[in-house]
Amino acid sequence: MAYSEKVIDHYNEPRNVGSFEKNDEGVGTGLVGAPECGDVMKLQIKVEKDQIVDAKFKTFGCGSAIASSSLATEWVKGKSIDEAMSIQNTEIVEELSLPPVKIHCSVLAEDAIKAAISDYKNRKNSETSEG
Amino acid sequence: MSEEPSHSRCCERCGTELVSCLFCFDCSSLQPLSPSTNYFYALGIPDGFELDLTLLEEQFRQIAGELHPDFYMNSSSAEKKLSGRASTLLNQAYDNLKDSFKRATYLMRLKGKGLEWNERVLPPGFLEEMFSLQEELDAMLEKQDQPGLKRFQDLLDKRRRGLESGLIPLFRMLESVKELEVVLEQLQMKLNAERYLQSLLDRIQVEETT
Repeated sequence: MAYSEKVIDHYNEPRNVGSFEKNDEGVGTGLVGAPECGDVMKLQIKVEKDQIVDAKFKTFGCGSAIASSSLATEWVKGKSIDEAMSIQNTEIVEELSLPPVKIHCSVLAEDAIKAAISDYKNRKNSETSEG
Repeated sequence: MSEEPSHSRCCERCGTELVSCLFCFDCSSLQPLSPSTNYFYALGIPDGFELDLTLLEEQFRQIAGELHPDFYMNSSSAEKKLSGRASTLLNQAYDNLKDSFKRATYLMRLKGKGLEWNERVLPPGFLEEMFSLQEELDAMLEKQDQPGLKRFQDLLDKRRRGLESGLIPLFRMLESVKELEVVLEQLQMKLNAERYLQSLLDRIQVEETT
């Protein structure tokens, strides 16, 4: 199956690969997986005043999964948490021209964003309740 | 849930009860294909996770021999076509049954028809572990640490076999419990975990051959 040009571009030059220390202030970590193919994706955000100022990812999986998460980090950067929360997998599908068999990769990226945001919120809440 | 009688068809031509739903050995005739062919019945072996692999092999060879399109070169075009389609189906059935994880997946679909369970279930902490194993593997591949890779591969193989042997008691349980969903979910958990281990193993094999 042929990958689209945009997928190949993100695959060859993935944006924002790496990680943050997950216990650092303002960091939210989302770790998600797709059991149908054994892919695992980690996406992290760094939040300041409810704005996502930076994002990193590391994905072990196929080209579409890598491209979806790479694109997701690009998209969340500079957005507010609420804006990032509203990113839909269908937008990723469209941007990367993913074929139907690779739609689950975009779902994974959406799940990863949501998981990272929810981790950030949980950690923030537990900090305030402890302090 | 009522079990479908999967092994109970008679030959369209002579009426004899069929051993394989694809071919009648009594009157040597191809049988019409049904849209939902049971793989076990196609191979003429009893339904179930625990199967005799030697019997599976023997049945496959014998039935494949009868269905082979070479025997139908002088037959009607309908029969030619049927022998081709039946052969494809037989191969598909064989591939799905000889591998224990594929067989488990297939059987779960049969037994779990109409039921719902969490298909994405994983053991607790499993994803975190898989992620760090992937990172470990990255480092080993980069260094081309062959002895390390070999150990890593052995460890993954061992865990895979562990998951495999855990399937048998669960399938036995499936025959005796009412709450099928609970057991199906435990089976699913093992199948999902296996796929993650397999994706790690695939990376080692790919790198070895390149």
